[in-house]
Amino acid sequence: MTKLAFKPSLETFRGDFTYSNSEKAVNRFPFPYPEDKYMYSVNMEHHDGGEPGSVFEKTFDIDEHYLSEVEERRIVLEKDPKRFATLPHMDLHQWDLLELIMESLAKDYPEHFSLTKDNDNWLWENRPLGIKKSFVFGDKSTLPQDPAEYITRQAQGDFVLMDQRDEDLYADAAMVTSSADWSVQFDLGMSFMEWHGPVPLAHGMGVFERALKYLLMIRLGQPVRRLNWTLTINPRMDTAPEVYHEWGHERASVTPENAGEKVHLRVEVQTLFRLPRSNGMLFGVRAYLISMEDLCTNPAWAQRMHRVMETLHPELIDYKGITRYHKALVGWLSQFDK
Amino acid sequence: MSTAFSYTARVTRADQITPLIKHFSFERVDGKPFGPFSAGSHAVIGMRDGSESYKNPYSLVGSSNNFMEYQIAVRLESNGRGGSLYMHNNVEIGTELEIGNPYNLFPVYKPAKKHLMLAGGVGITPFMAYIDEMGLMNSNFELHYSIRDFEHGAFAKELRDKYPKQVKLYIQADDVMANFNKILNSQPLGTHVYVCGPHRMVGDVLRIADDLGWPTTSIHSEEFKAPDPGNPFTVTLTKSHREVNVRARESLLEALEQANIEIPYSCRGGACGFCKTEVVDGEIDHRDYYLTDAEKASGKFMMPCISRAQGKHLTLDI
Repeated sequence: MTKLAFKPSLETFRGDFTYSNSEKAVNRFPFPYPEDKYMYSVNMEHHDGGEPGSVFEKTFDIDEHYLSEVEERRIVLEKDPKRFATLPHMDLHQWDLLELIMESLAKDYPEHFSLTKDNDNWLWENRPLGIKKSFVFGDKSTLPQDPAEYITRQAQGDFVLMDQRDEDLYADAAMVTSSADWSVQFDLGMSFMEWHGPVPLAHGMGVFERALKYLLMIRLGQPVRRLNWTLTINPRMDTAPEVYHEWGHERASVTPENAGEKVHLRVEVQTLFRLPRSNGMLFGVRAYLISMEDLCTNPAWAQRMHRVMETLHPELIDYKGITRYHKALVGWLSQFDK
Repeated sequence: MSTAFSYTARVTRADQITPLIKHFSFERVDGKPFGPFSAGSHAVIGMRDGSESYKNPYSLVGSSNNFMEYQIAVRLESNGRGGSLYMHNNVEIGTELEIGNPYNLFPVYKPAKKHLMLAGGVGITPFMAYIDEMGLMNSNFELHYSIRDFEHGAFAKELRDKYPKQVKLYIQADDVMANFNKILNSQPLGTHVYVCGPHRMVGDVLRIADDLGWPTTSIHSEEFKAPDPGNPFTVTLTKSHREVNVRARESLLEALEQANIEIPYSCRGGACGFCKTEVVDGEIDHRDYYLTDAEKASGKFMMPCISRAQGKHLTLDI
């Protein structure tokens, strides 16, 4: 296995869009389709490792885009601090999250991160970001931000903290700066069913009732994961409704000629962890972006991508915001499926 | 759903804290910390006594911040099925036991404005971790703890000394009884009630709360119900092509485990839902709190930890 190396200069997910995947990153991309035709399923599996080098190997995957994604989060929060939000009863959940991320990163990437504990006096070192911070676990006044904000500013992916009560899960705190068109301020405090209200088709299939029952039974030390996907125009991480005016129009820029370069597959590795102190749940959303051009360097992926797009249910085309450029994309992909 | 994992643990302390209650501490045999747990969690202790084996759930007591040890308090049930007897008579410092990873069926309701705990006897156990968390979070709480006499009140002295304002003791021997009607009738809006204790006490509190118009979502209770004995019966297993006999004093889940058939479980008392099993044929004697009335009526599912066959035979889809 080769060592983790970060991109030598910061990439951008806006403006000039300098984000790109190295060959190594393309090879480990989590291609999400098990079949030539896509439909919802509660496609859960245990999150207890994966192939060495794969995005599933570590509890929280850190890759070559780490520094760039941390910078992107900083930019989003500077413009809109409310992308981190919490309700007042979420303190324990926040500390749970801080501990989970710090312990996992220190264990999985010891060359980059370390955590030293002397009872509640903790020392956290994040060498890529040049951070060396001592603080008192459980004492918010010893950190510059809320515990969850502090640690997720140093992590890749979005994080939603759910409180479990009344046989339901409530999205009561979150750091979300790279959402696929959902708003943390709108969804804050929602129950599991409310949160998933806009998803088409799946409600009639009973997917969410089954999923909620399953999630409520997730046990300490036995996290699970699933994949979800959508398409994004340009390698843009922040496609939140709050900034729709910045990205919505880009869907109209796709042509049969530029689809390979413009259209990106966005795959979310979604993880769910029972949190030990709060009995809450962490919903982690780690998004990976890849251009159609890069994706199609793998012939098997290229062929399947074409078939999945060609046969996608019209309601899903609409829900995922693909309607406008669906024809152009399928046309471009057809060259790989002859 | 995967089955729980468990740690092999060694007893580091075994103290008789009241005439009927023994307090145990455990550490992991591999020397690693257990890690934190949430207040109200239980863990299943696996015991082996010759050819008999017992798996009993116990609330984790003590500080959730002391990661090196788990603690439980066990009340001797002389007429019980043997687990508590084994813990009292056979388990001493150095004994090794299996401890399952914790699961919480009695969590603190985090957004509550005030937490009102009502404990009776050994029902104090989950509240030991509650109090620890609430002290830590500076929560508004009260504990009303009913005991037979001071000698029988596990942790009573330390609780009263540490939280003299919040802890109220009711000592039966002194004729001081908790008046639940009065307690429940004088709470501010946003209060959540947690009750753990003898079956009759829990029933009384639930009934009084209902009479006073408390929303059911504000009342939380926990009782560990050991499976009651019943008539022996036989199960046929369609997937593993086997027949298993269930004796009068063992549960279906225990009989399956004895036959090396693994079923996920947590509470072993019909509440958590982990062991839900599909039934192909036979009439079920439902005794759980988990299945909906419709599921029970359908005859298609059962909770083998506590429910049994109505007749002499069941066919299960496992």
